Amino acid sequence: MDFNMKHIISINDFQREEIDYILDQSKKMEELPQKDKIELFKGKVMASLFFEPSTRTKDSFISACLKMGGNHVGFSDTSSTSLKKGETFADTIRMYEKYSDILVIRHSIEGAARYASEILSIPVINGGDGANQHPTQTLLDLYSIKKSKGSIDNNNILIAGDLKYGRTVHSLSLALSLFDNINLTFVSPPSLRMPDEITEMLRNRGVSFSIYDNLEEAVRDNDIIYMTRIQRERFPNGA
Amino acid sequence: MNDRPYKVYRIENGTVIDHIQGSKAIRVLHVLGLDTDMNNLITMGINLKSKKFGKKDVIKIENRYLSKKEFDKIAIVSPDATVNVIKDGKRSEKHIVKLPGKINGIIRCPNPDCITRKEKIESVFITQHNEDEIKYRCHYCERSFEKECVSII
Repeated sequence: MDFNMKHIISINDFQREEIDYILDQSKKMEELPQKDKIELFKGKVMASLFFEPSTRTKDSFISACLKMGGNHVGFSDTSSTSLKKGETFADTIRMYEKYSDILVIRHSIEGAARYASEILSIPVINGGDGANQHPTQTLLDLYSIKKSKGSIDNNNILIAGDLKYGRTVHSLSLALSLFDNINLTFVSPPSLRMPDEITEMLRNRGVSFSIYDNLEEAVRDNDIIYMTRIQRERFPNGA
Repeated sequence: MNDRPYKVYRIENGTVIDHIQGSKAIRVLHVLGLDTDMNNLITMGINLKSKKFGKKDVIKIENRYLSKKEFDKIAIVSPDATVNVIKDGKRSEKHIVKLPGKINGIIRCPNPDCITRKEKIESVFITQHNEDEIKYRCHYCERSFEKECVSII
């Protein structure tokens, strides 16, 4: 499978075979001795452009880059960049394109990573775009499910928390729909339910799912329980 | 000379947009920018009788022909409309507008957090047909919108 110059923007861009391939490669990477790992990205530079705060995503990318022998440039706070002086988003990312071999981007604006992938000639990885997508978190979640349960197929998975604004639950639910015999249970307060467009896509793909307001009522025979926090920063009134 | 009585002024050269869904003519005029057109003679019939649709609207524009992009705009407002090109008083071409699968630069994304609302980017929407319902999915923010929710640039 050829992943040369392939971007990772949305889980919706992936077929099941491609996800299986990435998870198999991830297992090989995990088992690879450090002395071999450090050769993989030697002499390469990753641009890590975090227009929005992040702890785990940013540092896991940087850690992976360093463990594979690469270097990194970028920022995690736009207040120290030329964006504050009025430079456009497009100009900023075009400049980093010249400094690096791959670009990881997080932005509060939805579609920012897709747009970056269309105007740059280096691979772009979406580290989260607003309430839209967080595909690498989904790949990691799928990897964790596979590692702990042996297979992603044939699982009852309960997903609880802020299902309206949590981008990881959208990506994960759609990714799980590519696997066989998946049964999903969604639990959230009524005001933070899974958006209709996601449940509609799941329905169209023939995925079995149920919706609950109360966690105690919902928990039964689940193989996996996936909890998310309330995404207060994405509430329209910030309350 | 055709003696058929025209409810809407007959034109020699230009475009007739026919079979517009009843009461949608003003919206069609607006999306084509013809509501502020000071150059061409435009006549319009609203809620005319139609054998096929019960009611229909008609717009006639003198000395003005439409582009493919304008056909697509009409299709978004009124998917069953037809566009007739009139030359020397006769119909020289007839087109049935068709909703394209991919719509470039016509729809404004209603999502205020979409990149197309922040940067100078041509919007791209994918037309989704789900039974009788039409939705438009933004290529960038990946959100789907019912046709009543979208506005035309």
